[in-house]
Amino acid sequence: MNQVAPDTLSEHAGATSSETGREIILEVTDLKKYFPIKSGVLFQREVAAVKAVDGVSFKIFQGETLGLVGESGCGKSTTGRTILQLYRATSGSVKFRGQEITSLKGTSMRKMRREMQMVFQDPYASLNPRMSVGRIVGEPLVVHNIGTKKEREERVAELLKLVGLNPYFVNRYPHEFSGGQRQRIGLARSLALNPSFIVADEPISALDVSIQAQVVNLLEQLQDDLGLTYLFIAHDLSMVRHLCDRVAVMYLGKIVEIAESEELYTNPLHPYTQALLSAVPVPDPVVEEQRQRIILKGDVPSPINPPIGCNFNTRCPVAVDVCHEEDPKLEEVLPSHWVACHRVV
Amino acid sequence: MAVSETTNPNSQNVFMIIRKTLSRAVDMIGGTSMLIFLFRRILAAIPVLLAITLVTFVLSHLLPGGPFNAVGQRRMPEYLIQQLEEKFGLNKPLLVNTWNDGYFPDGDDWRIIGYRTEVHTEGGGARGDIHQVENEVLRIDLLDSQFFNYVWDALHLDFGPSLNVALRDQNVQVSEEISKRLPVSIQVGVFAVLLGFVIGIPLGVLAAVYHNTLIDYGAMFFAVMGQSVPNIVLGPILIIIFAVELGWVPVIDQQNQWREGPELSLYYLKILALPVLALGTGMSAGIARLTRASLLQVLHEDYVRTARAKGLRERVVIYVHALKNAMIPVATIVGPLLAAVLTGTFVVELIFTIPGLGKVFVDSVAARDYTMIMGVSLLYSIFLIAGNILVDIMYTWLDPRIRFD
Amino acid sequence: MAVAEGAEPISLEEESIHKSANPWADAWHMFRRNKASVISLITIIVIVFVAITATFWTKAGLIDARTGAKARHTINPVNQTAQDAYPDPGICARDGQGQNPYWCGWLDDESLAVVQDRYCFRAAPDVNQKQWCYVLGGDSQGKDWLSQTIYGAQVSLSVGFVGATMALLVGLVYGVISGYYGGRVDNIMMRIVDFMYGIPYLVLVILLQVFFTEIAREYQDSERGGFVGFVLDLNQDMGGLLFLFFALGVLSWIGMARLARGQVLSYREKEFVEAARAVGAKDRRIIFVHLLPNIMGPLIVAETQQIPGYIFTEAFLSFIGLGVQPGTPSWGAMISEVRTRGGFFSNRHILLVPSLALVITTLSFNFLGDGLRDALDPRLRGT
Repeated sequence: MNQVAPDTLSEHAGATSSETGREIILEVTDLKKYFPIKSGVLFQREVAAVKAVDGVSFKIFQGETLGLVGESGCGKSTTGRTILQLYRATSGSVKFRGQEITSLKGTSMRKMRREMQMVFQDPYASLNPRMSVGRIVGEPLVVHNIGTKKEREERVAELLKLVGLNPYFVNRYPHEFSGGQRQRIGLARSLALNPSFIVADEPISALDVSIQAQVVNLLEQLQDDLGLTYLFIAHDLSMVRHLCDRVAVMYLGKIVEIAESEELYTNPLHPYTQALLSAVPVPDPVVEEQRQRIILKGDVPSPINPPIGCNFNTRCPVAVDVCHEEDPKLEEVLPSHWVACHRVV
Repeated sequence: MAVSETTNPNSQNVFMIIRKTLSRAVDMIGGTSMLIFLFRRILAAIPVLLAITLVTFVLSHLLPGGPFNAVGQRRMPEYLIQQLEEKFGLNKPLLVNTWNDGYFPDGDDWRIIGYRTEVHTEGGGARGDIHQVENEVLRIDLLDSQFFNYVWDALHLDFGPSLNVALRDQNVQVSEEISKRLPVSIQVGVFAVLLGFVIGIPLGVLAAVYHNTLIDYGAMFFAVMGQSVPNIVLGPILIIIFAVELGWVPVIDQQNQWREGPELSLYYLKILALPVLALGTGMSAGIARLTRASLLQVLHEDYVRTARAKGLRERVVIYVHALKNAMIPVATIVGPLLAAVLTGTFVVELIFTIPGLGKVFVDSVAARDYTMIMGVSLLYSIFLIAGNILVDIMYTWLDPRIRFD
Repeated sequence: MAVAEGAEPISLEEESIHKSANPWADAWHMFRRNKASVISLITIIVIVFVAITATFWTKAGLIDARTGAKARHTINPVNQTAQDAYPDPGICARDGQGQNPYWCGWLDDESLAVVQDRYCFRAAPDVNQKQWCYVLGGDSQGKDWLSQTIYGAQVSLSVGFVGATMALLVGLVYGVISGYYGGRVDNIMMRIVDFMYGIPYLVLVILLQVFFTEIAREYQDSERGGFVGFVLDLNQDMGGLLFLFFALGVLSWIGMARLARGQVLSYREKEFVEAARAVGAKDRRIIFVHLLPNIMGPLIVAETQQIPGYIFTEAFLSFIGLGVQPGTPSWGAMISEVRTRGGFFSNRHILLVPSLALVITTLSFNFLGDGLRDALDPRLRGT
């Protein structure tokens, strides 16, 4: 594997001269998360590791929405969870407003958790079925010991109103709600602590299409009202285009391309991005007529044994010898447009 | 050389045949992964067995009194007890031998490991004069304890002589006694399991097919009843009804058939009937409930709905499509069921005075027959562990979706 | 703060009339629909009540095995004229003295003799001795079988409840620690459980009970103080139940530990647990607020279904003389008298009375377990 020194990466990845003026809220540098595979009759020892996230670097600016897209199993969810320290990073750094958070523990970690929250994918699994809506939404306040009981109740009502739910529902239980309503409850919970950064892990993919738009609009509305910053994880490319300022494409634990949303969709450079975008139907019949699907051959290789050289070389239609030898670096080939590919220079 | 040359092609042939047969056999039992799995499970069972040996050993020796304290109601004289204990090695320390005096009669020093001169007599009788032979033997004195001696012997499949007064005078070995009594328990147990399936499966199928009808309720009431009547109640009631009132079967085994070994005769079936009925009824209840639950679940699966949608007759749907899959969980309980029956025939054996393994165990505990206690407990443990392994194998065998990992 | 425009607040006012569906309230609602379970629950409550108030029903104690003191029994002597100067003629006395029950007139001479023989006892062969008559008969020592059965309920029920509670608590703590913390701790803890799975249950229980009964017997003759003496005294006062609890509990928790661990594993990775972690909840809160309420249902169901097993084991142990101490009334010990007192041929009440009590109790617990399963463990509903 071709490792890039973290310091050189942090100088480059994702940021350009034109953006230096904006405040960086989150900076991820060479983040890795390996899940050990253990085996043994009596005593377990590590025999291999799933390289779910394998050296990911990017920056997120205050108030923007960064989309993180890729096939299922490419490590995008793991990236989100590792950033939030739900998983302990194997290596690499995550800086939130300049502060390193991978090494935080105890009280300082809990303090940090008030700043960054998560919205989950499955609206059915993400709410405790034994807790009433009021307790679910108020839990962050209880955990952080904020306010009196009365104040907490008021805050919960306010939060429910904020996400478009009737505060009358506080004593109801999650199973009495629809998927969209449950996702709003989850959103209310994540907003309880007034966070500035939210990781949204495919928050709409489990919802009906008609409900998806509502939730996306709600997310946008909240961003405007509360000045939130989102890391929006998704596999639905059209929704990402609509919602995100910039988009990062992941493949097999690595970021292969980052660019401004419009730039990425009109001018994809990495062959994987091109293949992904070719699968998106275009609402314009003339363009749709000309759209040609790039069908990738083969399956995604196992993250336990990723290919030597470029991760994508087993399926890449334009791979050459160097792709099998050297891991390409993420480089800025156009302004604000970063690609990790030997063939794009 | 000549010999090897002539046999070479032949032996290669034989080798090929063996290899083919082996690989076919391996395929039959589920491929190499299954073999590796089996091997690992058996390997993992060894320390478990050792630990169980240790626990049972310590526990049985903790019981107050010893095997030689009394004959019947009479107490044995102290010197006789001592002599007997020395003969059977019960005077040695229990777990680790840290003695350095008193035990070694030849005055040798105690040492962890070293050579020791052992003297034993040879000759006498027709072989001439008696003379003494000296041998240098490598000994580990630390391990010269009752426990390690037992483990060492057991590894050589020598489980020692029974210490129970009724048996030790005839020098009966534990393995002999067990091999005589085990078949009795196995017969009762296996017939009971068979009866359990023969009653339980049809009952469960009926209940599932006629779900929420009177038949279902009746079958399930029988099942709950069967689980609620313990053997110590069912046994005597069966005796009163079938032996005392109806006189169909003898109350006790008057012809000593159990002891002499089974023989397929009407009489044998008669004395077998009640214990099997007592054991099998409770089991059939559990099997019926499991069958019903499993079949109900399968009947709601999509492929069964498809079979119905194709217009197949209900009978075909149930007996061809559903039952086969519904039997998976039922089949997997055969292992633990057999293990439970074999290790749990105590009750029935005591009620019906059957001289099986359970009876032997209870007697041996009362007599402080350490070797017999150990022998029976170890056998039971092996049954249990084998039963557990069997479940896992059954699962993969019957449900190819499950893999060994 | 403004209400988001994109989504109109969803008002379900008309639906709100429906009462709050607390999951536990749901379960109770579900349970009540199962008639057999409700009847079983009532039966169990009655049995528990009778067992607790046993002394009231039997009016006096039983023969004290330790002191050998004469019993001041009895329950329901049909003829309550104990203070009469006349010797008690007993049940259905032929000479018409005493207050005979109304059905005496229905009996012919032969039946009358049987009734006299089986239900009426004299403390001594002397005909002038007072005679006791029992509704459900007695044994040859003059012990009333019904009062014995009522006292036996104390043993069976306490074995069932204590056994289940111990297994649930120990198994729960063990399984939750193992499943929640995972890794090496889990590995070692599960190896221990594997090891215990290989121990034959009855073998261990019998060995332990022989050990305990012998120790208790030895102790009777000697004075011993300190903690050991205290425990032995306590066991003595409980009629041997203390050690029996221990013997039954040594292995009973392992199944529960496995179940609890499996449940924790299935919930530990659920997103709502992750959500709690993301807001900074500590382990203690996650375990007590998020995991336990969700995993308790199946565990309680499993443990209720185990109760008949504990009752059976105690009955069996007492049946072979390794259960409660001799003289302590227990259904198993009572049934065992069927062998020594000719119960197979004539005195069948010896078998039938305790058997009936045993079967009714376990039947109730089995039905209760089914009802609880339907109510608390929806995955297994109707199985």
